[in-house]
Amino acid sequence: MNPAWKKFFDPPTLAELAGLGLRRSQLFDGGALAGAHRSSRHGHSVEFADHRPYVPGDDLRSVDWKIYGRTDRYFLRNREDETTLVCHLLLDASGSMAFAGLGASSASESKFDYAARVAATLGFITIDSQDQCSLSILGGRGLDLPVGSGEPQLQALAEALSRSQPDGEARIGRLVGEALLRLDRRGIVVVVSDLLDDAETLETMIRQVGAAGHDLLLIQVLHPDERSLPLQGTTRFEGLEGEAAVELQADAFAEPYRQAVAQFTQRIEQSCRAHGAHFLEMTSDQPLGPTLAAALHRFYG
Amino acid sequence: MSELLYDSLPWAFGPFVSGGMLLWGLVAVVPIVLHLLNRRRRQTVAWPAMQFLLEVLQKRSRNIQLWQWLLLLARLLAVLLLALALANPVLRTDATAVQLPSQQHLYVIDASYSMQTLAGSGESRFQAAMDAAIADCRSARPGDTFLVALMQADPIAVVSRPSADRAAVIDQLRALRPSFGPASLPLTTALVKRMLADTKASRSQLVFYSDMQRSTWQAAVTDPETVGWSDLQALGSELRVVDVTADDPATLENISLIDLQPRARDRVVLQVRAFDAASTASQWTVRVDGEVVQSNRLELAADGSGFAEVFLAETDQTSVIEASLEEDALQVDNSRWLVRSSVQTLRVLCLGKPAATRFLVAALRAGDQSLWDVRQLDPADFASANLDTNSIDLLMLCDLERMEPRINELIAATAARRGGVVWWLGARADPAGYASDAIPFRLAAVAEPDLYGVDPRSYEHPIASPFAPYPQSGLLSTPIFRYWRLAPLDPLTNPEVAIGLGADSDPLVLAMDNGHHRQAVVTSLPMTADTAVAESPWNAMVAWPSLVPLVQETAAWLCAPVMEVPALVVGEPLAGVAANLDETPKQVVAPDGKARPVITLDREPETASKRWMAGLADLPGIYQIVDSDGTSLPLAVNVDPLEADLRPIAATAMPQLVSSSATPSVDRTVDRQSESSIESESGGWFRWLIATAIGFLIVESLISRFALRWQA
Repeated sequence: MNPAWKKFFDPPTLAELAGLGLRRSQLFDGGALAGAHRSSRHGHSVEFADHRPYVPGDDLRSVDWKIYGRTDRYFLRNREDETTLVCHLLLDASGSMAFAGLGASSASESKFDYAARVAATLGFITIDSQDQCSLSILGGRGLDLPVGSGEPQLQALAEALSRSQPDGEARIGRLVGEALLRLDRRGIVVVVSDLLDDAETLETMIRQVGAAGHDLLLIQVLHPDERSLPLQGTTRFEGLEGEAAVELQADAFAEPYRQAVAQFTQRIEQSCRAHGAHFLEMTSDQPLGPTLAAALHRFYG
Repeated sequence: MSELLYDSLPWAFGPFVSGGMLLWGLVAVVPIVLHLLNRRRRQTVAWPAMQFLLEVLQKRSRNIQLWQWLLLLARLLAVLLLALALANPVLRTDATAVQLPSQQHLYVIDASYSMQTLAGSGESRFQAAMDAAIADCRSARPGDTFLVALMQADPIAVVSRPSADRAAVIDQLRALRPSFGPASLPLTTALVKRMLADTKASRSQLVFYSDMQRSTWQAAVTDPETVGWSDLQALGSELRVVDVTADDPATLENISLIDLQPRARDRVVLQVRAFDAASTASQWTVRVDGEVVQSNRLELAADGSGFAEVFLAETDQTSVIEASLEEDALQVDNSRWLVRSSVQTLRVLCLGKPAATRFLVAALRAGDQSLWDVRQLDPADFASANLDTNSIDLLMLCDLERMEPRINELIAATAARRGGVVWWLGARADPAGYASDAIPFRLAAVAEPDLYGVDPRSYEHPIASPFAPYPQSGLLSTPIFRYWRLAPLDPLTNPEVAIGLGADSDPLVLAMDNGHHRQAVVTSLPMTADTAVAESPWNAMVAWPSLVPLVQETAAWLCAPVMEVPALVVGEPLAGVAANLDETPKQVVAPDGKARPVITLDREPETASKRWMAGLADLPGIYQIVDSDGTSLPLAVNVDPLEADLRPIAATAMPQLVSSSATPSVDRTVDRQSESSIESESGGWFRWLIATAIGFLIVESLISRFALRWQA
C-alpha cells in the first residue's frame, strides 16, 4: 500500500465516517454531471419541481398536457435535476501550522499533519459519495490538486498532501481570498487552518466565501498547548510567522491568554453562524473519527 | 579586635545612633540582582499564537509593568527600612543640635546606702538618681557617648569605655543597685579622673547624681584639694551635681540604730540616734536567735540620742542578737546584729601592792564567783611570777607609781586580745611614769583639795547607767576631795567621761573604746596625800559602798569585747586566720543565702597558720562561716552608722549643685509623663521602621501572589 495512502486514510476513522458526507445548504448548480445531490437545474429526475409558462424554444416533452386540457394554456412541468458536489479543500500551510507542541520531538504530530489528515478524510468521504474534490495548499510548499473524483483523485490527494509542508509568513485570510479566485466551480469550501489571523480579516474571508457562492466549512485546528499556554516563569515567545518576539511572565498571562483564545474562537463561530457557514473547533490531540462524525452529524444531519 | 572595630567604624553619626548598621542597606542590592538573574534565566519558545499574547500584552502590559516596578520598590524599601531601623535613628527638630560635635557624658550615681531613703512618693533616692541619669541619657544628642560609674566605698566603673549604644547604657543604669556602705568622694574622683583621662574626649560632661549627704560631700566644700574635687573642675569638663532630694526635703528625717554593744554577759546596750529634731521616740525590738525577747519604746533626749539596756538570759551557746527599730524612710540603718559568744570565765590580773589590790579583788569576787578568775600580783614579783601574758581578759593596775616596760607589754598583750585595762590611780602615781605609748592618757596634775561632787552625766554611759535607778546607792555621795587631772587625750581612743567630777565634769571614770578594746581610768585620790598610815585607803572610792557595783560594772564594760565575736562593717573583708589548713573555713554563706568560696593564702610560710578570705562583706546581717566539718560560726556585719545622717551640705556651698527639678530633662513629673514620648525618639523610630518594613514585605508578597495575577 502506498505509504501516503496509509498515512492519510485510516480505515477505522473512515469506518466511523461511513455514510456521512458533506451537503450544501441550498440547491446548487453542480454542473452537468449527474450525482446524488439535488441540482438547482431542472432535469429529468422523477421528482416534481414546479410549473412555469411555456416560452418558445422549450422542450415540448415537458409540457403538462393535463393542465393544457383544463386551462387551454401551455405550462411546462419542471423536474428536479441531480448533480455532483464539489468540495474544495483549502489546507493552511503557513508557518504557524508547523507547531507540534512545546516539548515537540521529530516524531510529534504537527498541526499541519493533523490538518492534512482532516482534509484527506473529508476528501475521502466526498469522493466516496461520488462527488468531486480539489485541494489547495495555502502558503507553504505543496501543489494544488484540481477538481476530480474517483480513486485516482484520492491517490493524487494523498500524494499531494504528503508532499506539502508548512512554511512562510502568509496569513490565512489573504490566502483564502486568493484561492477563491481560482475556484471555477461552486461547492463547499473546507478551510482547515489554525485561523491565526485578525478576526476582522477572517470575517471578511467568511463573507467572501459566501459571496462567491460557496458553502463554508471552517475547521480550526490548534495544538492543546496553544489553548492552555502551559508555561512557567519569564518566557520569551518568538513567532513562527515573523511576529515580534515578546517576553513575559507566562504563568501570570496564562489565564488571560486562554480567555483571549476563547473569545477569538467564539467570535469566528458567531461570524460563521451569521453567514451560514459551519465552524468546527479541533485540537490536534482529538481523535479524528469521532470528532468529524459528530460534527458532520451536527452540520448535515 | 572589637576595639579596633569600634574605633574604625563610624557607629554613630548624623541622626543615627548605630550608623554603621546602615551597611545592611547594601542588602538592597540583592533584590535587584535577583531581578536581573530572573531575567537571565528566561526560556525561549517558538510560539504560533502570538496574536493572542500580543493582544493580552497590549491590554495588560502597562499595569503589569507598574506592578512589577511596585514589587521591586517594595522589596527595596523593605530592605532599606530594615537597615534604617538597625541604625537606630534619633530624629529631632533641632537641626542645629545634631550638627554639634558629639559629647561624652559621664554619669556618676551615688550608691551609698543613704540613697535607699524613700521619698514621700515611695521612690528611693537611688531610683530617682537612676531616673534622672536615664532621662539625661535619653535627652543627649545622637552620637554622644556615655560612661557610668558608681560612687560608693569602693567606686566602680559600670560602663568603663565610651558607649554610643544608648539602649545598652540605659539597661546598665537600670540594673544598678545601691550598696550598703558609705560613699567615698576621694576614691570616686580618682576613678572619674582616670576614666576621663583614658577616653580623651574633646567635650565631656560630668554629672553626679546624689543626695548631697554632708558626710560624703562636705569634704568637697571644705577641702576640695584633698578629695580631688578641684582636679575635676580643672579638667575643663562641664561639671554638674544633681541633688535628687530637692523635690522631697522631708526625707531628712531618720532614726538610726547606731550601735549594739554587749555590756556584760547578760546585757546589751543599743544606741539610737535621731537625725531630725522632730523625732522624739522610737519603737525597738531585740531578738535572740530570731525570737523576740524584748520590745519597747525609747524616748529620745533633746539632742536626738537615746540608748536602751536590754537584759538577756545567759546561755551556753553562741547566739545571734538582732536589734531593730520601727520602719522609717531609711530602713537599712534600723537593724544591727551582734554575735554573743558562750559564757566563759574571765581571767583578771590585779597588779599592785596587796594593800591596794585587795579592795578590788574583794569587789570583784562579791556576788557571782564563777565569772571572775582573779589573781593578785605584786609588781615586785612580776619577774618571778609564772604569768601567761596572753590569757588576761582584764588587767587592773592599782596605784602603780610608773608603768614599767613589762607592764606596758602586758597592757599591749591584753589589748591585743580585746581584753580590758583599767588604771586605778593613786597617790603614788608619777606623771613621768605614765608617758609610754601603751598608755592612752597622760597625767597632768592633782586637783586642788576640795569637795568635788560626782556627776553621773545623766547615767548615759554603760558604767554609770546601772546606778540610775538607785540614786541612794552611794555613788553620788562619794567624798572626792582630790583627783588626778588628765592632759588632753588622743581623740582616736574615743574617750568619754563615764562619771565626772565637779562643775567642769573632769573625769572620775574615763572610759575609752577604740572599737577593738576598751580601757578606763579612775582618777580619784585619797582624801589626803599622806599615805604613811598603814591600811589607809589609797583611793577615796575603795572605802565607799559604791565600790563593789562600780568595779563590777567597770569590769563588765571593759570585758565586753572579749565576750563579743567581733562584728564587721559593710565593706570590710571577710577574712581570718586559721591555725592550719584543716581549720580554714570551707565557705561563707551570706545573709542572702549565697555561698561564697574561701580563698586560702599562705600567711607565713614558716608557720602552719593560714589566712583566708571570702571577699568583701557587702550585705548587712549574719554571715555563716562554715567549717569543713559542717559546723558554722555566725559573723555579724553591720552598716556604718555615719551614713545614716541624711543632712545635706548647704545648697550654696557648691556652685555646681543643681536641683533635679531645675533640670528640665530630669523633671520628675515630666519624666514620668513623657516616658513614652522620650522612648519614641529612639525605640519609637525603631518600632515604626520595623513595622513599616514588615508592611512592605507583606505588600511585596501580596503583589507577587495576587496583584500580578489579577492584573494579568
